Amino acid sequence: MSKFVAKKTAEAREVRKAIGEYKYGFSMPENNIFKAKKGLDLERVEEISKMKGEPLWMKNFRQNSYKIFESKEMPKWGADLSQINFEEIFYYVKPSEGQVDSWDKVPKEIKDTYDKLGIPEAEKEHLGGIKAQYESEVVYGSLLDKLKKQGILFLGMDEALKEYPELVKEYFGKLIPPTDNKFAALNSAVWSGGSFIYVPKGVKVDLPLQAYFRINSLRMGQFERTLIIVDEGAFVHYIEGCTSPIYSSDSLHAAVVEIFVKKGARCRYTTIQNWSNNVYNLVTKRAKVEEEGIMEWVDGNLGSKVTMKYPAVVLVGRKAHGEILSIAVASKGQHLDAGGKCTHLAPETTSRIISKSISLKGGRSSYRGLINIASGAKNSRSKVVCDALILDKQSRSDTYPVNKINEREVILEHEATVSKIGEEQLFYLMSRGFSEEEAEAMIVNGFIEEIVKELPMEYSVELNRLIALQMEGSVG
Amino acid sequence: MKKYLYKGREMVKMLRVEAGEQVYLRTESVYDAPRQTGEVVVKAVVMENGFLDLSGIIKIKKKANLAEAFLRQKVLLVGKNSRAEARPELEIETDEVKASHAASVGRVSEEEIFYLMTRGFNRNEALDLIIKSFLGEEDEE
Amino acid sequence: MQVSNLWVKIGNKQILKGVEVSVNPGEVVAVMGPNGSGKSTLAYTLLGHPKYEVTKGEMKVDGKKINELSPDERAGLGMYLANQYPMAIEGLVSVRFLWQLYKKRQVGKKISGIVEFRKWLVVEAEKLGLNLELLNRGLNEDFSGGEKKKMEILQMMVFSPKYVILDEIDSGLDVDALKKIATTVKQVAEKMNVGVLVITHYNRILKYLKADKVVVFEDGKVSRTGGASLALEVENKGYLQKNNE
Repeated sequence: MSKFVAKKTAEAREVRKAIGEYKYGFSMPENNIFKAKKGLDLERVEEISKMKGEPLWMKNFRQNSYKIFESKEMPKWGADLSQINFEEIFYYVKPSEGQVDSWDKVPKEIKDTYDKLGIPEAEKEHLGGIKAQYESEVVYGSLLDKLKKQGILFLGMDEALKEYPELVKEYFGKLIPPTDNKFAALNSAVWSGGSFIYVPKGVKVDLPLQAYFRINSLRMGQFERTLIIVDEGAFVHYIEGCTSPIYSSDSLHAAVVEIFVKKGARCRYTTIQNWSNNVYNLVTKRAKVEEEGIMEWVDGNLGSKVTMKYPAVVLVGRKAHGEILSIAVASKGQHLDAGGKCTHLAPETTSRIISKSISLKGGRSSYRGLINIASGAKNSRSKVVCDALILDKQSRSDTYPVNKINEREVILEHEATVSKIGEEQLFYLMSRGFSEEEAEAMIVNGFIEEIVKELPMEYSVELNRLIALQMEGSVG
Repeated sequence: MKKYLYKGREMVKMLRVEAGEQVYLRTESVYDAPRQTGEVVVKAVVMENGFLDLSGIIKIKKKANLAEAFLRQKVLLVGKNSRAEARPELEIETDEVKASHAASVGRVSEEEIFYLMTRGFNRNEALDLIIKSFLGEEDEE
Repeated sequence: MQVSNLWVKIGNKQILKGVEVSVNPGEVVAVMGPNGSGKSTLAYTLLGHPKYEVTKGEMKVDGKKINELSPDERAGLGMYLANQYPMAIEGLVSVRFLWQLYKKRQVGKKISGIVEFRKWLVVEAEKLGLNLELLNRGLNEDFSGGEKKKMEILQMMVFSPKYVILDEIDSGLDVDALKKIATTVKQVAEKMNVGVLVITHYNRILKYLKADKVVVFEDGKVSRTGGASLALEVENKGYLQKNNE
């Protein structure tokens, strides 16, 4: 089933509700008072909470977070964030915002990419943010029913707060408090949308859950907040994002994802991000893993002007395991600063980071990682492999790993290599009849294969094609 | 805290952080012209209650094409409460390079100690031998 | 496939100093000579390796001059080089690569589906004695020397060449593997009327792949030519014959 069909389905309902499409004859929704004001202050934060009809504790949480946001300084490291203008941002977005109102306004590169990916006309408009189409919801309705029968909760974050407030309260903000960093504080103040998932003990969710399955889901909001709780012995795989370039007129995306993996449970969180190149993508993602639990972050970063994202695992229980598999492709005008953080707080914990980054056409790709092994985390092991491929002379790659070892009974290994496409490898493939461009693409695909093979099939095929597209014209 | 800063592309540094000592050691290797090569190896042993802050950077500038740069950091945590932080960094501004770095941190292997003890050395003597060979050994590769 | 008065240098070093070799379809020509005589240079130059500079002379395939063609264009004419030191390409899964290669070479022709292709591939791999597990690994990734050579021959089968250049394919192979590879090349050559240029140090491969002509290279030039018996003579008496006078 095409994922585009699914997206249309979910968004159709949301957009209909919000805009009220006359031709379908639906009534206007209650929350029709959309403030089009820019900028942020304490009052606006209160308004947001009121408009959403939230419990008092959440309103207080938001306001407190706002104060923290104001008091924190911008980070002095990482990418250049000086161009972000907080005054120009709309902090409460009505669902159809972030979209343009005519196909002409969508940037040419994005339209070209859709053509090359072979995406049909109607879907192009959808992804370009023009309009949604009405589709039957029968399939997705029954899927969600099936999940519910197993006791699995899968809702939008806003709905979850309304329907399961105690459960949400128990976990919300506990792993990533607003004090964590400036952008987590911002998200904590103005968050909207995102997913809430709870998987009961021993339940293994056999198909990957994706954002667009949810009723009331929207294409990526600016300040999404996701909370996932995987109870003992359970398993879930959640997929966020989409390989197709998403055009957004919003320039700042600051999301927060908190994941709690309980004893013996396993969670895999896959992200493919391909934001248009005007977007600052600053994300805080963290998972807490208990005894014998497993957390896997699979992170693909293709788009955005700036991305700063370091999926983290905190290993609190014996034999907990965390993995971060990350791909970043930085092209012209992009700075992707990504990596991972693993904190070992218990004995016999293990972690693995594999980072593959590619820079081309003047792009800059940086790996930033932290392995922190605390005293007492005896017999823990960590392995980091970060490889970078620089495709031309204008591009740049950096590696900034930090390894803090406070326990001597451990094994830590870290390796990094930086290289370009080898002349001998190129000749070898060309002597088989492949053009220089084809040969380069094959070598690049081989470079990232280790991670790409962990992606669901439709993503891996599209990812390879997208990268080939990006590389076009980079020969010479 | 003792601080050491070494600049250069080609060097081997052996270091012993004694019991209770705190040491900061940084190596900086800058490549700024074509066809330069270099290898930096830092090996350190950290004794009881010692702390080593080990930082190393390879910077390859735009003009430094065909550079071949390597950085290797190996730390052995010997005594109780010995700690280390290892930060091997790379900043690469051009494509025709071969650059790699590796860092490893670990403790002395109990098997090695046991083996030497079965040959008649007491624990301290065994440790001493292992440390000496770690610091004095040729690069295995 | 024809090479006339070919002069080739790498950097400042002149390696080939006017060599002449030709291979007709269906013919097996052996090029022999001591190390450094320029045999491998000939192989790489024929496929247009960027390091090798042709300063004089012509190379032609089926009457068409190829000096200015890029490696992929030459491969497009049906030239296949079995490398002495095949490159490993990490992550490029072998079976997938071979499928891409097959599709590339069959452009304009009818092709089998991937399922049939895989079945055929497995049969050919087994005939060569190639461990099937390797098909799922990156191309030549952590393959032994012998396995890489077998993979070169498997690729050749997929490639369906018109002219094959074997660059010291016998080096490092055990007798069994050598026999399998040589007989495979021989069968393909006979069936498809392929011209084969065998570059080798020793006579052993020529026991299975009989040469129609033997050309001896010494110091970048052709020192002698002859029939199949020349190979045996060279092996028995060594290359320095001329200088022994």
